[in-house]
Amino acid sequence: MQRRELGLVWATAALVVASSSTAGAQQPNAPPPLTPAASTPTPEPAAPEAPAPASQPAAGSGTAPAPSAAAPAPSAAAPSPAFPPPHVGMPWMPPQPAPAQAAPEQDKPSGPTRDRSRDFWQVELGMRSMWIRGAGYDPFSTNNNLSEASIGGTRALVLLGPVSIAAGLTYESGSKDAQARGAAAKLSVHRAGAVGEARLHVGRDVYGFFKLVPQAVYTRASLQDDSVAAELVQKKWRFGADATIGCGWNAPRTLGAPHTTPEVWLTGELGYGWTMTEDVKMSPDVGESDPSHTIVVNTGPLALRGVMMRLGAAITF
Amino acid sequence: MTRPDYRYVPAGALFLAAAVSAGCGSRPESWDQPPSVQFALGLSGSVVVLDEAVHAADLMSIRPGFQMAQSRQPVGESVANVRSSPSGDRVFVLTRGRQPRRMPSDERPKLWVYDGKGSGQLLQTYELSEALNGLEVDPQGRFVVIYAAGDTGSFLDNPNELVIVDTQQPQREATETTLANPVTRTIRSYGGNPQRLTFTPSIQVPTGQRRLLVVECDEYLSILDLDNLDRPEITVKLSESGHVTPAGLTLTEGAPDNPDDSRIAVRAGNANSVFLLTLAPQTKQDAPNDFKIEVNIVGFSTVPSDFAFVNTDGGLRLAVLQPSVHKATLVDPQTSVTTDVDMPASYGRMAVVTRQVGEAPSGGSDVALLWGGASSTASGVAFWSLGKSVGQAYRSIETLPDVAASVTDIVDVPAPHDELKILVPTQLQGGAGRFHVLNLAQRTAAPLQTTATQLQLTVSSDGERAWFYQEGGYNVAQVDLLNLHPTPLVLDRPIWKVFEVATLDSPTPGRALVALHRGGTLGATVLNALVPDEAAATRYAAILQGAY
Repeated sequence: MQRRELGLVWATAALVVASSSTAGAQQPNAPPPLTPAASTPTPEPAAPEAPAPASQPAAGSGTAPAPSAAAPAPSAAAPSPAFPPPHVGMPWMPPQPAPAQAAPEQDKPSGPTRDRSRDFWQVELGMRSMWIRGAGYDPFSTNNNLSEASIGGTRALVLLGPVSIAAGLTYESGSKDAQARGAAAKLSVHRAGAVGEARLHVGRDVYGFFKLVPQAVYTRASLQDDSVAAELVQKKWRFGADATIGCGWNAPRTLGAPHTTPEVWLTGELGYGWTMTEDVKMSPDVGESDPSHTIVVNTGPLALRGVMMRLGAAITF
Repeated sequence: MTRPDYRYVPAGALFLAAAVSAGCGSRPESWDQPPSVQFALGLSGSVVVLDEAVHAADLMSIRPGFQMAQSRQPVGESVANVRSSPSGDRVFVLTRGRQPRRMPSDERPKLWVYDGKGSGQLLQTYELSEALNGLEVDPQGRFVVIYAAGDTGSFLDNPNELVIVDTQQPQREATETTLANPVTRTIRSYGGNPQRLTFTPSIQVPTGQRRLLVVECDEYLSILDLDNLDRPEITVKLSESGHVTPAGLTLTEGAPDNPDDSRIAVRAGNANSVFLLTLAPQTKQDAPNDFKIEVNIVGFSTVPSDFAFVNTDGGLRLAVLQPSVHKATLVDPQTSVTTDVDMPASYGRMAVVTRQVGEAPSGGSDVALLWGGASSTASGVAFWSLGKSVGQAYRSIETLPDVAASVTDIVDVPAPHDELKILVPTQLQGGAGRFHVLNLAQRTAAPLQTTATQLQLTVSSDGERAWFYQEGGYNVAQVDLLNLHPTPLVLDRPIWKVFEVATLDSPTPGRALVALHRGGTLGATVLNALVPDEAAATRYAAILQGAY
């Protein structure tokens, strides 16, 4: 990967983390309430003017009806989960009652809060690896691998019980270079994609997902061949799409780290990347006044297609 | 807190490793090989470039609009020799194959035949049992002879073995009625090796027309009947002492009405002798060949440098040049009687130009063109009128005053302008070097002056144009051979080689100039050869780029 691209990725990540930390500082002790009862362990007597419960289920969840002001408070020893227990064998942490210190929060007027195990903004940094078997990729790489840095952001838009649907944007960039018969060849790839992601939350720490990313792919192929003075270049836009399945794991929480905001997730996904096929027709990078501008070197059709995987770290808030 | 379940971690890691290893394939090795090009030839309708690094023959033809089309064909490992057919319609590539062979699949030595007219096809291959490096092509394009020329690098080889390939037939095994193709022949040896092979045109022998292969070896000569390759060769020993080396031959059919006087003359390179071999009727009933060789030796005062059968006012003669004594000698092949003709200079080379020359003598006698050659310092050229050589020898030489410099070589111009010859000077003097275009019909020589100290020359196969260029330079010049109008061109990349080929335009093929540029993976510039203009050139780069 280019230093410039890496710098861009890290700078963006730093900005996101900084902004997320700031947001978390404004709500210092606000662990995501699982149920209304969890946030009201010591309910006051019912009163008509009583404020609304501190926590409402996220819009559209439909699984946890808002308790009425007169509803009996559930026992702290037997909390009721927000959604059905996970499958057998998966890590599962039962909802814990909020600590007693949270009680003063009751006094504060508070708006609706979110279940941040599902209802979150997510910013992800990662590395995408793709295995391209087409012969058109051979001039630019001694193997079939193309690695790209990946950064993306999503927002859960729809929550349907354990299922959430998120949308967002992603940008990926990488390059590969090799000697093609003694000539320096290089391929740079930039992808700007729209993310559509369906998540199945298995407890609070793990979710599986299916992700579809239609994208605009920009490629710059170049060849420095001594048979012509100028560098041979092709710049091309093409349409592409990724389809992956994967999972996210809130490892710190599983391993017992205290709740923080933002939360950190590890993500991994596997799937298939596809782009349109375009001939790599490179021409000297010169102006039209240069007679060599008419030269065209075609190294064959290039399609960035193949099995791909993406490993990353994400923060949610 | 429930501890996480790590049971699936190993399985996940294995899955990931499998996915990674499945994707990490490598590209073909040829991508890692820079081009290795030693051979590039111009053919009638294409240019062939052999890229030995990837064992490929790139045949480039020119399509309408002067667009270059490229055909990549396989070729064997370790190219030993490349020759084109005289008409340029095919190219023959001799490869050694993989040496040593370790696997049954390792390639054997082969002869590869490609089309040169523009289709870019591999026409035929002939597998050989031995890696050889000599390749001689029949002027009529039918036969190819493969032999050991010099050091073959083999642990053991038979220098007198000839592999004769009939390229009009596919490879085949021998049957009861037909010979194998290729057919292998070991010529009788007296301790020498084949030095030069000459395919004769169809020549009259006592029993009919035959094509012969004459093999000049150290000390002896072998003659094979190409129309009857099952017959043994006829070997002629040139000297009992073993110190006579053949240095060239010429032949004649003799009188048209006499089938018994076809002759082959062989000159010695290290003796003052010429051997006259007459293809006489066979007298032995059990002899395998239906003609025999009768040998007559003619002695001279010095070593002959060139010779030719000529028709003179006294009849058929063998004209022999002896430059070291400024003399030519006419030999009567019937009687071996000689007539000396004094020469105004030490001319070492000659060519019969009777058909092309103007004011040809009446009576069917010949005119010969004389020039110095590589081993002589004689200046200029001269016409030798053989119609008055025997009776008035002193008046028979006409020196052309237009040419002052010594001439090392003469380049023939193909028909329909075969009356033109291009005289190549022995040395180009910087700033004042001169080629000459000799017009035999007018007996004039027009100079072409150049500032270059070294020039390459190629003549178009249609005889209309000559191209001069300097290898490694940017300049190329077309000379219209009809009016000698030069068109200088300056290309934008250093020139390696220049070829003129026919285009694939239909119905009337055009002509294109293909200039190859050697840098990187080879570049090319294509021009309209009929109206050359570098501003309208089509440029190509990285033409050998790509895997095979």
